[in-house]
Amino acid sequence: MTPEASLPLEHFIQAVQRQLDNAQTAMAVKARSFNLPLTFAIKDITMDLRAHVEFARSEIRIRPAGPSDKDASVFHLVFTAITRPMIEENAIAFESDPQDEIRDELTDDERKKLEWSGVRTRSQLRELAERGGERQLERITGLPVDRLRKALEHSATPMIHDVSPAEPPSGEPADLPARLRLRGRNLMRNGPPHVTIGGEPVSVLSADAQELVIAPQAHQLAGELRVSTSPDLSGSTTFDLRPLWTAARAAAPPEERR
Amino acid sequence: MNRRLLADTLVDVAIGAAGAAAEAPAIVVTALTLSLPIELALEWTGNDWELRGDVPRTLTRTPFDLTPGRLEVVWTRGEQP
Repeated sequence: MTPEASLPLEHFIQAVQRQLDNAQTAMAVKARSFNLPLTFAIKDITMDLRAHVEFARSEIRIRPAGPSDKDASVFHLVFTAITRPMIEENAIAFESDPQDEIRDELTDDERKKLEWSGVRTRSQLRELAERGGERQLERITGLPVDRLRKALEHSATPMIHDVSPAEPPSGEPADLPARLRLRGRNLMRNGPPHVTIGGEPVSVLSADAQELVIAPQAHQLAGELRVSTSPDLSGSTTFDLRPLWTAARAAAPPEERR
Repeated sequence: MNRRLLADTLVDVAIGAAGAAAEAPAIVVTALTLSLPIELALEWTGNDWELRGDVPRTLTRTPFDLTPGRLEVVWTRGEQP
C-alpha cells in the first residue's frame, strides 16, 4: 500500500481474522501431508502494528507507518481463539431485527456517527432519547437536534408491512365476523392505537408493537387502512381482501359480486 | 520480493517446529510458543485488504526498511480432523 493510504480499523481487524482462518486451514492440510499425528490450532496471537491514527468520515482509520515514520503509534493487538458457544453468546448483543435498523432517516455519515456512539437501532435511539433527552443525545452523538428529532419521529412512525385474514376462533363461522391481522412495527405506543379503514373507526381486538388484530365490518374489507399511535404519528396502507369473504361479496354492490 | 501473507508465515514457522519435534520419538510437543520480529504491511487486492506479515528480510536496517513489529503466537495441539 502507499504510505498515504488509510483504512478503517475494522478492515484491518477483518484482514487479520482472514489470515488467522487461512492459517488454521493451512495448518490442518500441511500437518496431514507431513504425516504429523496431530495438528495445531492458534490459541493466542499478539502483534504490534506501527501506524498513524486518523478520525475521518466519522470513523477511526489507520495509516500503517512507512519506513521513515519515527513518531507512529504502536497498536498492540492481542487475539485469542474462542469457541463456537462463546461466539454465539457474544453475537446475541449484535443481533437486531433488520426492520429496526436505522436506514433511510439518516445519511450514511450520520449513521456512522450514531454507530460510533453505540446506537445501531431505532429502539436504541428512542431509549437513549427517553433516558437523557434530545440535548444529551446531541452531545453524545454529535448530531444536530433537528436531525435527531426527525430520525426519532421517523423511527416511531407506525409501519404496516402485511395485512392478512386472521384465523377465526373455533366454533365461529369462518367468514364472519372478519378478523384481520396487521404486521409491522411501532403499531402500539402507550396504548391501543386508533385504527380506521376508509376513515371509519375499526375495533382493535389485540395489539402489540409488531401485530394488531382488528375486526372490520363487512364493508371495511378494502380501502385505506390507517393506524395512529398518537395525533402526529400515523401510518397507512391500502388493501383489498374482499374476495376472501363471502359476506363481503354479498355486501358488495351487484356489479362487484361477480 | 513480496512479503509473504501472514498466514503463510505463521504456518511455515509452526510446521517447521512441529515437524522437527516429531522426529524425536521420546517427546511430544503439546504447544508451540513463538516470538519473532515481523514486518507487517497491508495490500489492497482490489476487493479486500490483505495482511502481509513476514520476518525481516535483512539483518541490517536502513532508512528504507520498515521498523519491525513483534509477533507472538501460541499454537496448541489438537486431533487431526
